[in-house]
Amino acid sequence: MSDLVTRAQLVMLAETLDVEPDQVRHLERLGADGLRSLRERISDVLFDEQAAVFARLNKLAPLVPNGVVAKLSQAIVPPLVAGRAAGALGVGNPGRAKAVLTDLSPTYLADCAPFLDQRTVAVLAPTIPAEVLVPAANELMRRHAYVTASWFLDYATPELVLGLEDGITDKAGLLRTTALVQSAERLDEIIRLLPRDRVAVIVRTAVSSPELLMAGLSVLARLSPELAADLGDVLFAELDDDGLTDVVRTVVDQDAAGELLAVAAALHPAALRRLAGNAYLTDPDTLELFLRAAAEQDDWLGLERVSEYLTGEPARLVEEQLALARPAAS
Amino acid sequence: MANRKGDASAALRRQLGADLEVLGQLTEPECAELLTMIEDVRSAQRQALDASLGDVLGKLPRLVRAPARKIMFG
Repeated sequence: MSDLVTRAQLVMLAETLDVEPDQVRHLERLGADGLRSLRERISDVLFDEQAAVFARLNKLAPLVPNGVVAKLSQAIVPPLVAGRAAGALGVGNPGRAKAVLTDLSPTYLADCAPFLDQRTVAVLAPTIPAEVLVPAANELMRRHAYVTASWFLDYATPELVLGLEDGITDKAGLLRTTALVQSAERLDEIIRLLPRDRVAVIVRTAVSSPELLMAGLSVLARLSPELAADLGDVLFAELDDDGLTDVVRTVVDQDAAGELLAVAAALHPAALRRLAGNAYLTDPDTLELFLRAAAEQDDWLGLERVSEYLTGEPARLVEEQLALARPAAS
Repeated sequence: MANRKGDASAALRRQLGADLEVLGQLTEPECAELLTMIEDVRSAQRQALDASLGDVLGKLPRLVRAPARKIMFG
């Protein structure tokens, strides 16, 4: 569900501008890519304007021992300043980043995280072991700061991704965070990095609330088909028939039929058969809604795949619409 | 601040770069509003950075305080 990703970019733009998300809400129409390019450029310009100060701070760094840097920072440097300076200092003094970060409290690190220059995170990430970042990541989960946590996943090395997954105890928070990773390619890469049984634990958390289900569907809908099919099996295995009805009902309530259809396009036959046999989904009113979603997206593959397992009146209704759509699509 | 038609959009392009395609989708009032937000955050961050530098320099060990001041302020 691209909306989740767009909303995350909107929050990040608001953080960059230090305003409330509502003040930039009207820019949601720019989409996730547009918002990201705007935010990144604003952030780059603001950081580059302070490059001279950061360069002088770098010259100052050799004079001050690590312990003093950590102690002074936490005592008197506000997170906004520490976050903004940290990237430049870390890149200029890569050998010290790990030692200084280790001396800082997870709370302070989490405070500073939203203000980091993302360009420097990409450079620094390979030098920081997961055990240094895991306590701060858990603090971000505790604060529900999933948007900030998500861009760490964007830049994390494979070792760091594995370490963060292992160390983050809030798996539902990890699902919400993963759902906010902007690029589908990167999302696929992250999921492939993790052992399948660990991903299964994360996916299973999706059935515990409507909000988590939306996050789970968002992840599945953006994965490559074979990966989505495998994880779809994991999700469906978690659901009895009533549970599946609840999922479809939630999808309808959340206006996310398009996302479920995107997932359906990749599902294995057994999961498709269960979807097609669900009485709530095959109710004419619900089917109508799914037909409308497919028409709006002009993407009929999900419905086509479900229709292979439909019987009776629902099969006729969908086949009729597919027949009408096919010439238009060709 | 830019107030003639097209001024805000041109000023935003000057600040963020004319190659930033998404700017073409913004209206003139949106450009003006973004310019104000950028200026506000720029000013707030500059003040916070200056204030923190002063605080940090004042708390450094006495031995390094003078050379540190020289590095930061010449």
